[in-house]
Amino acid sequence: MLKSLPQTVIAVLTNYYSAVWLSCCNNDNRPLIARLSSINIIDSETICCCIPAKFAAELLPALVKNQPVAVLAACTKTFDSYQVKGFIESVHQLPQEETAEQKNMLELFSTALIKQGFSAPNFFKAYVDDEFVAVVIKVDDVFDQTPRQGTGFKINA
Amino acid sequence: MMFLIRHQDKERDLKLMHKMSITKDMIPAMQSVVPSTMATVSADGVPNVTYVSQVFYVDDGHVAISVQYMNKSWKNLSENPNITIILTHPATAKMWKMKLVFKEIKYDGPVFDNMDMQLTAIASMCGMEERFKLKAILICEVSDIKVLFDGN
Repeated sequence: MLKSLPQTVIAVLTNYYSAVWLSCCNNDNRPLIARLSSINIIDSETICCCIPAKFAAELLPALVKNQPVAVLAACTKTFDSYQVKGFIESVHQLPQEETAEQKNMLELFSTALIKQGFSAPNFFKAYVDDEFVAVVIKVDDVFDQTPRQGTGFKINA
Repeated sequence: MMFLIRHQDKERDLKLMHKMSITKDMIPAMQSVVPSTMATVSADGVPNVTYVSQVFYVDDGHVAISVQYMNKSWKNLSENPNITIILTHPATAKMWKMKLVFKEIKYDGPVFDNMDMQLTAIASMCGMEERFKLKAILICEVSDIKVLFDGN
């Protein structure tokens, strides 16, 4: 059981140049996946994942309290990656006044991709939306997913 | 509630773009420039999400996925063969969601050799030659393809 999220993990979860994803499963036990706009740390064992609405449509029926979920964050600069597993505490539509911050995070991420030769406007358009779904998750386990020896190991073991 | 209905409408619109076989415009998204994201689920519904270095075109109805680490994904696939992958075109950012069914694991053969060569090239570009070693490949059947972002 996780005591608290390590600072190294928080850094990758919350950096604008990290690519962040959420996965859960539907009633047929098929995996679902969505791109996130950002992850916010609520406290040492609770995070809030924001999903651009266009990626959330298929997941919405499956995003219910106590549903197990997995979140992947990977730094596009260093390749440091972590997977967080836990359970949904709540799901709500992000208030309109908080959507600007999500768009800002996606713009910063897209701009960071210019250095790697990608088109920032194209990637921003791919990820952005006008509405966002916020999923609050109680974290149980954290795994190191960085491509190196030891990848996949539970950090909080 | 209105929020849910609006997004179910969006979902219905997207369903019009469903395809079952790989098309030519997807090939650049399968050249490992933008890493693909892969999700699997255990028998009891616990998901696992990870990056994969290669989603390799085999034929219009099949792809091969590189296995380098993948301990938790492999455990899930031994219980539940369903996979969801996100592919991204490196130039246009066009995105596809591909649903796959795992069919078999291979440790050699022509597809394995081609993927091994490609992975060596990717690793060399990233300066990660020691970290990227191909252990096996997963042959998967494409069961559904949906366009998430049309790239325009």
